[in-house]
Amino acid sequence: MRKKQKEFLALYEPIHLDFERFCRARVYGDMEFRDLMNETLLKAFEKFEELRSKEAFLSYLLSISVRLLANNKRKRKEESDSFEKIVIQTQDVNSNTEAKVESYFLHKALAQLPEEQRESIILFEISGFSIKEIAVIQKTSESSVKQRLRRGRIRLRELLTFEAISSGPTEKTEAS
Amino acid sequence: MNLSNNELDQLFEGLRKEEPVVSYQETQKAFLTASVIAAGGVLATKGILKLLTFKKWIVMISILSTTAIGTVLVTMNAAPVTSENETEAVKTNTKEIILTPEEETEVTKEKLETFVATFESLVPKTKTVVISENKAPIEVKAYLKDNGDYYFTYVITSKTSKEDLETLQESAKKAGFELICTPKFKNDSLQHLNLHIVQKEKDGKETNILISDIDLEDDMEYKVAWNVDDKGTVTTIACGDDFKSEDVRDLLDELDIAELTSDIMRLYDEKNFEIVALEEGRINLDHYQEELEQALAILESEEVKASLLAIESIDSKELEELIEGLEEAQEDLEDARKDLRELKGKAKKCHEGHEKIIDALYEDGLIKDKKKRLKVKAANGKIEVNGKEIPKNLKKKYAKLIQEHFDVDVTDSGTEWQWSYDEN
Repeated sequence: MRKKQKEFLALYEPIHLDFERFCRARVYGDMEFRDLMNETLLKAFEKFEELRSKEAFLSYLLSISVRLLANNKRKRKEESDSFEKIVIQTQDVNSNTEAKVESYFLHKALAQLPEEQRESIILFEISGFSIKEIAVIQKTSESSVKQRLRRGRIRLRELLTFEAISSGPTEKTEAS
Repeated sequence: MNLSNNELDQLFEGLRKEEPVVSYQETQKAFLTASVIAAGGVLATKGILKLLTFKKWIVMISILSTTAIGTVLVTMNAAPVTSENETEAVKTNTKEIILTPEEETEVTKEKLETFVATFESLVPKTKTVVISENKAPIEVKAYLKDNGDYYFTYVITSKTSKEDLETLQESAKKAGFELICTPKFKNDSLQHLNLHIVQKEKDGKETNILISDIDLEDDMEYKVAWNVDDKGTVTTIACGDDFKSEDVRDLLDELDIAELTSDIMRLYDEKNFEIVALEEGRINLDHYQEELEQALAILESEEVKASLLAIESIDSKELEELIEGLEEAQEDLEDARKDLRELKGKAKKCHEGHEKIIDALYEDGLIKDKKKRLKVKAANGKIEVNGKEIPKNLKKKYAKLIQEHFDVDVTDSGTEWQWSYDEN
């Protein structure tokens, strides 16, 4: 392994959990989160020299993920018109523990939020970033982030109430 | 009633504590594999980087030689030469007006002879100089032996002071030759130094011979050394830098081209891997071929070999090993180049095969646009194109095409195969 790779992975290892959780929640039901992880890590590695603060490595990675997703958004839209829809999540809720079921519904509800809203919620509630930090990552104002968080939470509460009442034992989610 | 804020917070709390689906180790493995592919395969991580290092090193030899050899310049008149653009000016072999910083007077100088080294002239040179009318000429060498076999050795760095240079001049005077120092200091740090020795000719004419024209950056060290006879009179003068044969050996040890070649072969043997990488443009063969050819050209260069042969500090056995190593490296690189040619041919064939299948699908109306993303899947004896099973009457035709171009028998119900194609 080359020195640069070692250095990169040494920074990555302690934040793996946070990064994995973000990617998983962010693209749930939309694309394979491993692809986002890999693509982000490669991009980050490519521009590793540009990293100004090693302490900010997680937000550096997340900024790249956010940018990648934004860049891919238009392409994915174009493709979705002509390409087959793929079932990418199949979950048998009966086989899960209560915690996993809750996690499943929360992920599923998050996936139904508008992208920016979803991203803000995940960064704030799961990754633990401050509003100021999220504004930097999302390249927006703090008031926009606050608004996204407020609206996102309201919508999540609605969605999760609905899920609890209406969901059956087996769920399938399709890419839109 | 909607879920409460508190309940939502609890759900998030659960998510924050959730175990990861993908472990760090899995991610690390995926990242390392992907970074190898992204960088252009095994070649980039092992071979080419080393080749480039080697190439840089060779270039370094040439730069070193340029500094050491190229600074043996001869100028008429006794006044020291201080122009920063000396070398460039000398090449033109014309008269020019220069200002000496100490006296601020105009001096006309004429260049008669130059020994400016270029990349094509790597062999370290010596210049025979008469420093005293009544004594035999002495040799001025443009490099130092690495055994340090000199009676006097002065190491010049950016920390060298004016007083140090005066001591150096005094010492030279005692050894019977005149050494002219023209330094440039900035904040007490020596930035640039010209060193001349004065040649005295029979007709009484004096010639300044520039033996160094160096920029002293950071930790750079430059040495001036000479030997003396029993009477303390100079016999040889050397200037420049040590040439260490160990550096050459270390480099050759690192340059394991045999390993590189076997890596390339292993990569090719991993079926589909290279095809996928080629399809996606992640391996640029032209780029590698170009780099290999450049490296080979350097290794094949007679000048490089000659320059290594001329280094006195490498004994004959070391030199033999060195040349042998270079020749082996040449052979290995030739092999690698052949392999790349083969792979290119294979990639071309593969691309043609893809085009054939896409054309057939288009002609049969199974796809409407050749440029749109395509996915062909075969499982349980069925062939699907973009999720739709192809008509039975066409199955044989496509099974044959797939067999021909992908070497996969999709008529076997146990075969599961998938091919995605995206021109963009």
